[in-house]
Amino acid sequence: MIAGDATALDTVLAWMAPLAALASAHAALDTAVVLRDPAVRAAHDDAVLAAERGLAAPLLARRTVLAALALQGAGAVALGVAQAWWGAALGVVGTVLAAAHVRGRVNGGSDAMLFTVLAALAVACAPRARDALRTGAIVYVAAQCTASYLRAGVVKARERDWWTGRALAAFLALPAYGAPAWVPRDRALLRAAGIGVFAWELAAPLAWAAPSLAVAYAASAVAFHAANALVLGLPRFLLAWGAALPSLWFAATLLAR
Amino acid sequence: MLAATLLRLCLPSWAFFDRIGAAPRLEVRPPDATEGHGWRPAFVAPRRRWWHVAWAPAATRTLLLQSLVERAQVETDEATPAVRATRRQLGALAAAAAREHVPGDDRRWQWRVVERGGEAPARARTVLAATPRVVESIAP
Repeated sequence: MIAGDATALDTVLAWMAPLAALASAHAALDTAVVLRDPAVRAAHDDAVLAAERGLAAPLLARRTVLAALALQGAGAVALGVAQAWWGAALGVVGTVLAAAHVRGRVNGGSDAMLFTVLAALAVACAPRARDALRTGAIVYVAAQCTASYLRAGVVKARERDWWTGRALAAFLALPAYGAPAWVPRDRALLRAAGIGVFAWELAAPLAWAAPSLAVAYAASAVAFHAANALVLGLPRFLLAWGAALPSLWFAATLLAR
Repeated sequence: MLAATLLRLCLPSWAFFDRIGAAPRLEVRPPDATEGHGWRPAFVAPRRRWWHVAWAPAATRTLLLQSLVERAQVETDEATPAVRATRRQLGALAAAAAREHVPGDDRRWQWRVVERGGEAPARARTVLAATPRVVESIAP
């Protein structure tokens, strides 16, 4: 353990715990509201999926999952207020059960990032965890966060449609996202925006080069996810990645020493 | 199912918005509709509001239901339990959508999954219909 890392660890946990608590509480409430919707309820009815769930059926029943989500919400308060490891662990359990209940993921990649952050915090906030283990947990979040941008950037850069603006135009036209009419559809603008998005995503590893770069990248990431939330209706991505972003500063701080 | 979910959460692909594919849509219609008419979407995305930047369960609902339809689009082997489960889910969702369109209507509505590609789709391809069986017809 390098001298001074304990301070950096305390600082990053002071940021990540309340942000992850907010993301976890938000996800729990959002999922609980969605699972009460008649159409969602019908499509994931316990009787409809009983055979598919097999022995796990009681664990994945709607009532059990709603109870787990309530515990996730309560755990989020403990995580945010007291950095309680069990608060993060309850979030992990709620996230896994809700995802399994719907046979996949409730809200795409945001489930995976929230799971990553909460699992890491459950380790990093554990009272008897060694500093090396706590450090490793946060660096793991930084690695996953960086990988999420880098991989997304690579797959976009390989697609010709992302260079021409056709990809963004097509995504804005997808009925599932319901992008508002005020979003510009000008092809030249979409072309520039598309190239800008994957170029920015590909630059994610630069955040590890210096703490100041990590802070700058995190700030731009918040703006990126906020725009996605506004245009595509993805607030859970903003909150899940928002909770992960401080880990980039921690990783850059470690490397800078 | 739990193990598969854990694996997906532990090893996410992070390949967001990589390519444009034909967007599948679940459509329903009353059993007495005339041939080729009466199809309507089973669910639609909510109109975007400014507060959706922070709170959008209706958008989460749409994406969740859409992911089910997209799963049906790629699942072709009807013999597996997972595919049969997806078909049962689509049937249940279509029935719920029918009740949403016409409250109290307990008749067995028809449903289909159609693909609409590109930015200005002129035609739709039916990939799955209520029987359930995979069909390859061109729908208006």
